[in-house]
Amino acid sequence: MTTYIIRRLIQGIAVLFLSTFMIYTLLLVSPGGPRDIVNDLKFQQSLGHPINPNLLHYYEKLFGLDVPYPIGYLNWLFNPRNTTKVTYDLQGNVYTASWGINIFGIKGSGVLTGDLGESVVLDQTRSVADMLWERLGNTILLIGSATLLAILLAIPIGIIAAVRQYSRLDYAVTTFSFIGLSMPTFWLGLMLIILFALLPKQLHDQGLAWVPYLPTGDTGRDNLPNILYHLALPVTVLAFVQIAGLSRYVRASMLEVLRQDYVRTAWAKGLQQRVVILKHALRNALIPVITIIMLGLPGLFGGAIITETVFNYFGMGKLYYDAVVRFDIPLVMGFLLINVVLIVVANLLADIMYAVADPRIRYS
Amino acid sequence: MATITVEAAERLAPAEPSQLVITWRRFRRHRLGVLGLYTLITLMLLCVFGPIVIERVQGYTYESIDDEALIPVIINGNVTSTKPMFYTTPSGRLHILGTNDVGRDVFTRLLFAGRISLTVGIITTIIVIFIGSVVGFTSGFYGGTVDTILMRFVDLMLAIPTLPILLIMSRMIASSQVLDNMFGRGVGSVIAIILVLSAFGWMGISRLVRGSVLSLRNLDFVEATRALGASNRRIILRHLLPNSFAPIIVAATLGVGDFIISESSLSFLGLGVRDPIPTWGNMLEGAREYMMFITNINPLEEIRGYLILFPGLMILLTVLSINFMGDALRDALDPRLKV
Repeated sequence: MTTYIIRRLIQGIAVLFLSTFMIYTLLLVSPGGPRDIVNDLKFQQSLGHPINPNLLHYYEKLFGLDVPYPIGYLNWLFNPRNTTKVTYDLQGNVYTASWGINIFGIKGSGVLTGDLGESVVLDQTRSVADMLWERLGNTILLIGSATLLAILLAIPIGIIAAVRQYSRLDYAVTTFSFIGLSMPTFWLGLMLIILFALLPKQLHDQGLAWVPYLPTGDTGRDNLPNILYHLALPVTVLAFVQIAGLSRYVRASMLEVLRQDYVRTAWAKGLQQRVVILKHALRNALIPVITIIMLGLPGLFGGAIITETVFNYFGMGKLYYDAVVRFDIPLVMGFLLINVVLIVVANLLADIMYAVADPRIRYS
Repeated sequence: MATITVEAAERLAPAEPSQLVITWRRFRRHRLGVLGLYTLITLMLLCVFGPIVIERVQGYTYESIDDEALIPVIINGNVTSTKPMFYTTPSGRLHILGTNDVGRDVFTRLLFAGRISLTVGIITTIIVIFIGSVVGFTSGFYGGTVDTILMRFVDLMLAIPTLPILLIMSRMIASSQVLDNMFGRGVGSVIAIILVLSAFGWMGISRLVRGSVLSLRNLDFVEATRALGASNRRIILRHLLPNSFAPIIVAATLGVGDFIISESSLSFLGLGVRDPIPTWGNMLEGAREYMMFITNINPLEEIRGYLILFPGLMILLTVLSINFMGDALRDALDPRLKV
């Protein structure tokens, strides 16, 4: 077991490095990427257009284009030469400060030291790690409550559908989960905004003061009721899609387990339905479900991009969207890195949990 | 005594239904699948012939600008040139769902958008199936180092977050204008999105195909074919491919739906297909700005929710039909595949 975990850990770290390297390469060489921008600037310079050489140099250094291609990635990871941070103020004063780490005589900065670089467009010279950290709480609040809601609703739904297979309720659940899987989340968000925010608000404004309405966006949150009030719509959207997928899995997994011999034995012993289903069947049925939830979590950070943009929710997803639109490459790279880490960790945890939860699985 | 020829004997024997007929019979049993099929066919016919008929009858296409519909109206202090449902211009042109802010007919755009969304979905799926099958067959059939390298590569690709990378890639390709210069602004963006979606969408298929090949590779009939001296190419194309058809077809059907959703998400975020080519996603994007802008002040009837309702409903209907069909196909092609 320990050997298995260690081996998976090493694999995970390798995947982490290689996939970030792949992302770095994709961003660098794709048409319209940093290399194109720098080449375009150089081309304009060669035509005699006045291009600020400092700007050109700045871009090259920023994207790691001042060194040969793979070195740029290594520099992004750890750059021993980049030990000072230079800032300017409006008066033109130059400040130099030491930057990065200095442990055991090893000096340098880079992703490995926890430095994700600086934002270049959205919030200039602000640390990317800072910006992402600031929004992380909001996103986790959104995703966490949606997932919790989804788990709390999907598991009972799935169990009932499985226990009463081919009943009307079962067909209703199946159809509902198909609708959820086919639902464009942004449209669901917009429809909810119209139905629960805009229409009621207009009724409210037109004299029907008792009509409650929900907010369309994410502004002025201070206390808990207010936070919940603003979370209601985005959480509904995210939870809806998750419930659809999850209840399907719970149902399938329950059906599989209910056919097993030990469940038949439990029935034969004359145990109550409650006990058979909740103790004997559900516990085993939940193992693959937990894995699915685990593996789905990183994808939610991606899915949150759409939901957060629709509801103008100040989370990481909205920040990433803004970074993409404004082409803030260090911020984009930082978000992608966090996402890759999440995916790798989730995979690892899912595997380990699976091994721990189900003693039938043996790894050698 | 009359001799019975072989042909006559074949004629006398009850005809074995072909595989296609069997599949169709099983498919028909799945009521929602059949409903999905008919809905999809109806939608496709509407999207293909609708714009043609409208052009004949009303004389405008998805990109023609109706000058008469451009006259701005003032609603509670907001100036807008969008026109409401069933708007008829002074010279008698009917716009069933009104016109958008630049005077283009919303209904025609809705139908034309269906062509684009379905085309993107189908072409992307074809490309993805091709790449996935090539990788999957190579990996599963040859095994060994080739398998290890390809599957590790697939693992790496799967560790890259899909939606975020799709967003930044389409953003970069759009800003480079490489494809726009080649094919024009609208078509370039359609091709860009097909390329980006297929580049990051083939991994699932390749794993599926590999698994299927691995389960088939050592079966007796493959051994027999090999013993008869068949080449690898022949074994793959004539024996393994037809036998792993069922999961590929099911995955392909479901894939079309997924890609339509991805495409409309990207277009909705303004990073997919761009004007003047409409898709359901970018129609929603346009409508969203309008909704936010107008509704801060306006009375109930001016929300123009139909601008939001219909494109999304089209996406939902299309993808739902496709998913029902995929489920029915799964049941029909191989009952063991049922989840």
